[in-house]
Amino acid sequence: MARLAFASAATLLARLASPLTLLALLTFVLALPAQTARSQTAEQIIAKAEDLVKGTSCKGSFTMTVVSPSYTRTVKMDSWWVGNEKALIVVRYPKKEEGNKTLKIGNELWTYLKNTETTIKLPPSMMLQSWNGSDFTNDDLVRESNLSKDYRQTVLRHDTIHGERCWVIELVPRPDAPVVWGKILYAVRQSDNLPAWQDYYDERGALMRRMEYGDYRIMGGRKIPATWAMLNTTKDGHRTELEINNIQFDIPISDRMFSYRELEKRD
Amino acid sequence: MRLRNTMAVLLLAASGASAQWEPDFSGYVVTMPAYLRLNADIAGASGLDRDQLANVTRLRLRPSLTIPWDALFEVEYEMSGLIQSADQPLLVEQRDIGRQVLDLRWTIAESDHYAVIHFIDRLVYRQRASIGQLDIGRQRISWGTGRIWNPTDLFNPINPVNFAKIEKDGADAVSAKVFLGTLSDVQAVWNPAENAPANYGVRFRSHVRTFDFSVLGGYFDSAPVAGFDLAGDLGESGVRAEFLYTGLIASDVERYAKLIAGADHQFTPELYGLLEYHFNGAGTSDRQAYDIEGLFSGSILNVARHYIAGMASYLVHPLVTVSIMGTLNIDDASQFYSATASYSAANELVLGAGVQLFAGDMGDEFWYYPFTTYLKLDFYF
Repeated sequence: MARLAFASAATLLARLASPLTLLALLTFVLALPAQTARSQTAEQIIAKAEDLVKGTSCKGSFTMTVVSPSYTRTVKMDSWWVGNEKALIVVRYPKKEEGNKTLKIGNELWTYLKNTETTIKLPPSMMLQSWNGSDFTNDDLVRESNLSKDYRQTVLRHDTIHGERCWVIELVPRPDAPVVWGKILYAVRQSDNLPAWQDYYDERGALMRRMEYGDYRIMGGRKIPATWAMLNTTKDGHRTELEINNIQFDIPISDRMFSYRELEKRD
Repeated sequence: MRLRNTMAVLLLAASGASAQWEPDFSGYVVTMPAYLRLNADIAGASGLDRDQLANVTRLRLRPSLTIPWDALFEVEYEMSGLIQSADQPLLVEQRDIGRQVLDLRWTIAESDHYAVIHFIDRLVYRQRASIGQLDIGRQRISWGTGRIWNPTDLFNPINPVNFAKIEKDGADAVSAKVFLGTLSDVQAVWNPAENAPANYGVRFRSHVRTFDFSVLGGYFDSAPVAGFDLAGDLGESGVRAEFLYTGLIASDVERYAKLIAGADHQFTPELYGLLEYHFNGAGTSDRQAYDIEGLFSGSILNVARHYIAGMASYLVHPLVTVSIMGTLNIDDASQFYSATASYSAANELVLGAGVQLFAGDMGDEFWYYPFTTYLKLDFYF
């Protein structure tokens, strides 16, 4: 048995010694990292990308600029997120909307309007409504987070975007999933697993909007895209830019933050 | 000695946290020039021209001070001016503000054709703690879920006909809220009254599945009250209800119920619709018995028993919203319609225009009101 094993090893070495085999081996070794990355499933790639930009929890300040050919509006806000399940967003600017708040718990949304001191629970149909006049919708706050639950995900192709090799992943709604999009294409950079862009298609396959990420830099102790721009592809020149001013990741945030108490707190 | 120690502790606490004293200031000014056309009978009876002009301007200042020991002191001060072509009141005039004991309303100048007043509408100290919150002073207490009527709002609800108001009037009260969970709390309110027993109530609020709900009970205007409200999802739509019964266990007061039931839906990203029914058990179906004086003094909001209202708003442009609303008094078939358009002209500036139309026979509820059209400018700072 030992002799047989020795013979097999000798044969293998002899084969390895041929130039052609060495070239093949070199190619295999060089391709190994990419092969390992490719072995990630689409779900894993997207889950990692989402985790990198959102963390298990985060707290930050943002500036949202709504741009159109005829006007520009700016909103500044603070927000607290725990995973994708809970969020509290407080408008700090402009004065007209200062103190207005949005609370998300699971798939439910409430808004608090400071000027009239009223809390309103938003019905599911209102998820289609623009959030604070932007190209984001209430649905983006509530459902975007449940990508793995609501969409089947497959790696569609590989693209190079701004010199970055990316996976392009197709997300198709699962049967009966409560989503508004017919399809999403999600591009993730292979070098750092950060999102590059997302295309949103309606149920008839028409491209409705595109999210582009940019200004990748270290914030909150990790590399993230500091600008997110939502382009309305149905209206020329309309886009909403979200700039992260500061952010902290994976910090303890009490459940108390996501409550009527904080929603209605005057501060 | 004990007093000195206490003072020392307080001073140390205050000095140690002095960085947390945070003043804040905001406010707005709104001005509304209006054209009114009185109905011919009222104009004839009062000797006024049918065509009238008026302008309401309100300046509201909202300073606040965050205090280091997790407290907040809030003031809302308003100066309001009315100028009109007529020498008699044309608009719904709330002469007595309910639920207010201290008279913090002063007249700066007044004549037949103009009035300038100023008043303090919020003056409240809020003390927060991990288990709850205590509010003392003039404050807004928001009860109820209805979008047009709020029968369970026992603290100064707004008449839907009054287009000049944004905030509900403050109530002089002590309010204690205990947090029972993230979406549950219980609030107790004590509201003293002048020359009458104090009002008090307790409201428990919580959340089950996709529904917010609350139950309340108390003693208001010398009568026991009990009720509930809810707001939740029915399919893709939102549904709301409020119910209030007055005089439940008292034999010497009038017993009646009030309720609302409504639904709203966002049909497209631009189009929103709302329908609400209101039963007002304190009203009457006999228009001869309408309490018109109470209606125009602001002590009551409606005189009949059954109402239905529909509202739709359409986002014409990201900066322009148009809304229409229709209200039917089912008892006398009189109607009230309003339409508004608002344009967000800048981050802090909103321009708007509106019209109010009323239809009804002599003596009907909505017969009394003048046709009104107005422009509106809101500037926030």
